[in-house]
This record gives sequence, C-alpha cells and structure tokens, in this order.
Amino acid sequence: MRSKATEIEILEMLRNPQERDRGFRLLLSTYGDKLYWHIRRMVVSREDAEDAMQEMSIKVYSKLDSFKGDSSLFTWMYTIATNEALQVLRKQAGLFRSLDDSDLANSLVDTLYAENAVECSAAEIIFQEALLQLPTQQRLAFNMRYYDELTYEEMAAVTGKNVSTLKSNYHFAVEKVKKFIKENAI
Amino acid sequence: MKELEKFAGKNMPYKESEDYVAQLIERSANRAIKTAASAPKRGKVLRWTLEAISAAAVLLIGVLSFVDLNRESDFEKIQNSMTLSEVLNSMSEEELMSVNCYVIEDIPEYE
Repeated sequence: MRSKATEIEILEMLRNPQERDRGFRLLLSTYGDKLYWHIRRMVVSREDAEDAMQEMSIKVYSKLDSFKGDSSLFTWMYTIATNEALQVLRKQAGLFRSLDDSDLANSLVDTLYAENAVECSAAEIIFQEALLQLPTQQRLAFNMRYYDELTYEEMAAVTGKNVSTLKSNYHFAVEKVKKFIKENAI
Repeated sequence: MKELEKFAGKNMPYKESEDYVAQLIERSANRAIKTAASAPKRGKVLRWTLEAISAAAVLLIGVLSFVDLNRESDFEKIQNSMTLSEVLNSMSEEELMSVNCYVIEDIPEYE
C-alpha cells in the first residue's frame, strides 16, 4: 500500500486553491525520485530524463483538475511519466520507425556506455544492456515489476493493457535477459 | 527474479546524487507552476489570434460568394443572347428529350 494517508492529505491540499502549489510541491517531492528513475531507466540519457521529468511535471500540474481519483495519484503520475518517456523514445526513433527498431536500441546502449559512472560493476552494465535489447513494451513491463515493484493491476492501470498480456511481457523479458546475460557475461 | 537480483541487484549504473535529483524535482515543480501561471496570458493571445483569423475567413467567404452570385452563368449567357427558338434549334434530339419534362398523355376519346 502506497502511503495512502499522505495521498489523502496531498489531495486535500490540491483541491484548495490557496494550498494547491504547496500540495503540488509535496506531491513531487513524495514521488519525484521514483518517477525520475523510472523515466531515466526508459530513456537512459540524463538530459532526456530531465526534459521528460519537466514535461511530466507541467502536465501533472495542468491536469490536476481532471484527476478523478479512479487510481492513486502515484499511478496517475506514473502513467504520465511513462508517456513522456515513450514520447522521448519516439522522437529518437524518428517519425517512421518503430520503438523496437534495432538502431534505437543501439543508440540507447551507446548512451548507457557514455553515461555510466566509473565505479559501477560489469554485471550492472551487462544487465542494463540486456534490458535495452528488449522490445519497448517488454522493457517497460520489466522495469515496472522488477524495479518499481508495481502489482500487475497497477501496471494494467498505467499501460491500459490487460494483466495476462503484462504477465507474458514480463515473463518473456526475464527469459531474454537471462539468455543475454548467459551469452555475454564474462 | 531472485537470480537477476543476485546478478546485478537493483541499482542503476549511473550514480546520480540525491541532491541532483532533489534539485531537478524542485526545478520541475517551479517550472510547472510558472508555466501554468503564464498559460492564461498565452491563452488570451491565442484566442484573439484565432478570432481574427476566423473573422477574416468569414469576410473572405462572404466576398467570394457575393462575386460568385453576381456572375452570369453560361446557361444565363445563352439564355440572354439567343431566342427560345434558336436555343431549341441548337439542341440535339437527346438534349431536347432530356428537357422535356411534360409527358403528354393520350386524351381518352369522348364517348
């Protein structure tokens, strides 16, 4: 259960025009870290992650009135963050290319090598490279489940896909990652 | 999953400081609030522009239709320059049949 009490408090602040900005700052400081890393894992580049994070914040703030409370604030923001990350990838892939184009995967791997810190382990790098080889929907499902530990129901709310599709996406992703590691780990 | 966690853990290979992420979050919040505050002004300018464009479009459509309405059609030109018998004489048999809207029925014989 995601800090429900805090969400209720934040929602009350957001509904009060005098408290709205303070509520929004509190909302971002509560979930911003998690959302940043979700975006960063998807787009890899620090600069792109910053842009997507800012766009996400603008959209969240401008759409606060349309938040109906059908899902948690976190799931709602996570959906917007996911869309912004996918938007960055679409721009990178170009107008007529799929998000699963190998050129896009190669460019993300290049960025991964260009941006990784010196102190990280070889295993971490190979693991990330394995993830970047996955088709985007499988990578998204893997990240949501493995890193952010979302339930399949939350994942379904974020992606609009059904639970069984997400389960199979995650299952195939895990198998492919294991295979990649076996073939490439030193 | 456990196997993967054992292999690489859940850390990302790019180490960003907590300060960097916190500052980014603060910057993003400030920018979102500022953007929303300036949105009504931009909205007004956009609305005025759209209204001006639509007014110009309505005016243009009005002028064009006025010109069009006052233009003599080809049929009217022929009508005005020829007598009816000249027009009828210049038409082929098929054309004459096509303008013949009246069907003259046989008058029953009076008994």
